Amino acid sequence: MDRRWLISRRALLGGISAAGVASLMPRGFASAQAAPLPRLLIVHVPEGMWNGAPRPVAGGTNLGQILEALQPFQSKLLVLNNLNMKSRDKGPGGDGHHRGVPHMFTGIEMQDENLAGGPSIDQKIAKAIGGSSPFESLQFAVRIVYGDTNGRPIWSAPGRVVSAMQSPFEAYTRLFGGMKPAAMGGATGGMAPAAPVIDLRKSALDNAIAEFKTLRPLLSASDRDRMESYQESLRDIEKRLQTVASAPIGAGCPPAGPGSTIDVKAEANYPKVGQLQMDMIVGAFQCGLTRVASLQWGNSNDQCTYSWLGVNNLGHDLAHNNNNCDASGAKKLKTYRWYSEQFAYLLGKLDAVPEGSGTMLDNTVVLWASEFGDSNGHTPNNLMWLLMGNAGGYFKSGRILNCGGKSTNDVHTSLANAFGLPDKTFGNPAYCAGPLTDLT
Amino acid sequence: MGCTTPEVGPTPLRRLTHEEYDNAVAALLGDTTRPAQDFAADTEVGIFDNTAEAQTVPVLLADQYLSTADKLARAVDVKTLTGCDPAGAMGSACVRNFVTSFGRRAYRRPLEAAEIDRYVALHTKTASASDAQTGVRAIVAAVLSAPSFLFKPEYGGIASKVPGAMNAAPFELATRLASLIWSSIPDDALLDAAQSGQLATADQVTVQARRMLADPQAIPAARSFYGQWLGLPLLDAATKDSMAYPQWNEDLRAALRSETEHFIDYVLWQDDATLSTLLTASYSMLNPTLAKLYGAASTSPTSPSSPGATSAGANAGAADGFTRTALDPKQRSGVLTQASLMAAFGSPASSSPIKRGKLVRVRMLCQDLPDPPANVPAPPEPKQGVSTRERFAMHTNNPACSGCHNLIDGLGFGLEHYDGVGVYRTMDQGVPVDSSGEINTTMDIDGPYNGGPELAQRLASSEQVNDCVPTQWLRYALARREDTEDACSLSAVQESFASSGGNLRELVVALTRTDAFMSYRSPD
Repeated sequence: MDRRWLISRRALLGGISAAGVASLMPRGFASAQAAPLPRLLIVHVPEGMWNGAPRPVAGGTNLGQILEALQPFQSKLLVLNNLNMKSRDKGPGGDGHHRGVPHMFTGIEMQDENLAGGPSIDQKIAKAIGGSSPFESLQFAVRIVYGDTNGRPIWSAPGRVVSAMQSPFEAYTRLFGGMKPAAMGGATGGMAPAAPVIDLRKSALDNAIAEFKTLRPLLSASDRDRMESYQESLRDIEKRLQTVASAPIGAGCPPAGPGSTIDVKAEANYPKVGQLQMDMIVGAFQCGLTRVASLQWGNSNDQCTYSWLGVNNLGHDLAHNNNNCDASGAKKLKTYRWYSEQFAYLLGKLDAVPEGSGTMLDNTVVLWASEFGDSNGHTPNNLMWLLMGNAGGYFKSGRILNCGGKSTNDVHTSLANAFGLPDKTFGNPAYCAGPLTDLT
Repeated sequence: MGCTTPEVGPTPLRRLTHEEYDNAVAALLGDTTRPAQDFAADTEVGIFDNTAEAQTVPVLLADQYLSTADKLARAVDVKTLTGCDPAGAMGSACVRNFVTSFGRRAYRRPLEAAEIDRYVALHTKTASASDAQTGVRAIVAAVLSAPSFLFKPEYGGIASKVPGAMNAAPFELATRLASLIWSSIPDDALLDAAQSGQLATADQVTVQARRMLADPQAIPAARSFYGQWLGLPLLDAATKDSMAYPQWNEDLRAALRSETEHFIDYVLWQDDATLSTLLTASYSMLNPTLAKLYGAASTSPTSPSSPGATSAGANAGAADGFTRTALDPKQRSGVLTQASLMAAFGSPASSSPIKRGKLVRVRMLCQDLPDPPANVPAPPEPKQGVSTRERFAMHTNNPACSGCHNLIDGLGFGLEHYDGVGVYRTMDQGVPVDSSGEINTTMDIDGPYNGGPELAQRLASSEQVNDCVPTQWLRYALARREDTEDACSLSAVQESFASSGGNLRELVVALTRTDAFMSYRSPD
């Protein structure tokens, strides 16, 4: 057995210098010297485009009313107007909500009406680039009300959902629980190492993996697949536990704690939980815990009434207002502008972290996506998605494009290419013409 | 779906639900903190939380399994748990005995010799790096993370007279019974029955099923089934507009949920346990706040002296100040008319004939509805002088809507006396409430009716509804939708249920005797 297992991170940090910790870091941890590796963040906002306000015009510079809060970041944005989610109405599935979310990032027919038919783009990229990170990828969500496919955008394989953390408090413990701020001199401030603490998770994990070997031949193929979802998850955790050293402790890492616990399911706390989750994402990036993350705001068939904005109607009901600029349209506009403000907060945080010759935002690409091109008609066509940041100079930002009805799978292919995957298509190739040519 | 020849449908591998996990760690370790309540939820498929298809283990859940196992193992009192001293002179016998007995409970079968050796070796290795107590903790954490604990693999079947099927092995039946009746793992008595050959025939299964139904663990498990069937969990997420319903708050939400849970407990374990009583009882379980909400005269306790009372139900419903309270039979009748369901199936600022009609059509009549078309315009906003019912008039006037809404609205309009939080009303937006409705497209209860109580009476009398409840139970027991191969098992339960006078406890007993429950498909 690898003796490193028996030494806790805390004891290790207590016994050696910070420089020593750096030398134990696995490949993939960001370091100040090396060129920063690009990161991917996918953000889902519910209920698609409300078309009561004019969209930004290709070639122009005015982002319009809905995206107004993003104007300060305009030079770092790519607006992708008029995309079609071509797979959405193919194959099994329920209504536009139940199809839109599991199709959005997978671009392939569902396995059946309950489960997606392939991996989402972030998971495809995470498999390729996440191996050296403690977490291959991290998923965050804010108040998922519907646990069916309305609230399930991320999939690692056909039929295998990837769950999101809905609590920033749980996230903080899971991600940063073992870390201590540098100002406190590491874990024990140079005191003698504490007695070894056995990590019971490690032997439990080894035991489980040993048991799969005996169970596997006893199961049918489909049963085996479900059991293997556990095995693969454990393999992913195993890699992380083997990363004995913690992340580089320094500026922004670990981030400030989320403060005292609040009810993450209460609608009134939606803005606060969202902000804390964005803080967790930036912190995870700063600590080099992952290069791939996602953030999901609510779920399709939006069950939020945006009471803090004085809206008090379900987001879903407002979406069905025929894009009228009446009282309900004014409310809908308010909610969309509010989401843009949240993005401005996220982009501001990412842009405030110096990294390499630019900022963390420059070395990241954020895909901002929603499932309908028209929230009233629940259509999969004429979507408007955004790319923010340029993945370390890969994308030519600062432009508003009309994609002319090209496939969302083309966007995903472009993302795969940005992270070095040579793929020529993504999802079902029948709904993909290759990477978008005008992005780089 | 008719029964011709006995067959057995697919039997997908199941995993412990989060509720079963919590009950299992309570049974194994005495831990009642219910840690799995914070576990990542499975993707919802259908109305029950145990659908096998969705029971994968994403990384987050695997992380939660591991850290919870670690946390629980650190918290145990090793000497109490093992009943011996793993560090003492007889330490190695202590550890081996512990692995054997703890493993049997957790795996729901005796461990193989190689498995015992593996856990003993884990103890030796951990103890040498730390101490003997930590070694026991390592065993506990490993068992709680093991696939054989978390999943319910079935591969020990024996020849069956049903073609293409195997009888589930006695220990596998023990796990199935514990899942169904307790939402937990088997106790020692059930495992002993399996081990001694007393859990092979339908009659032997019935003996255990009856014993288990009389055990207090059956109460929360049944409550969970009926709650899910009726959609009670939707109440937790229901958003209400504080302008429309100033009385709405988290305490009220919790109280409404408690009311229905206590009512389910009371009907099942203190009253006559019939579907008819569940649907038409002239009482509910109220605390003083709810008595006011319902306008009920008082909450004077009624003595439970029903012949249906069982030892399991001795304390059901009495806690938390909820007592049996008579309600105006012209206003309320049974569970469907309770404020919890009317709020869960209401809109933020109004009632919802649509959600309520769907509740009756899908959950109580077992009739699926197609998805609504995508570009449905929003219903008009609530407006003074226009009743909720009038707002939805377009459903009947527009042929694009009327196809499906003919199946829905007539069932929901009858519940218009209950506002969006379930309070009884006579006026809606300044207009007198019209609660006339029409039932159509059913086997046996079509026709006009007026109001919630009449709808509930009609449903209770319906053979279709009385056949639907066993169908929902079968789905829950098999962790999937019924298939054509289940026809004989399903009709057997439906017939038993009918001949028992609609007794919901007997329904469960009958279910455990079916081929669907007692066997599974032979591996190809």
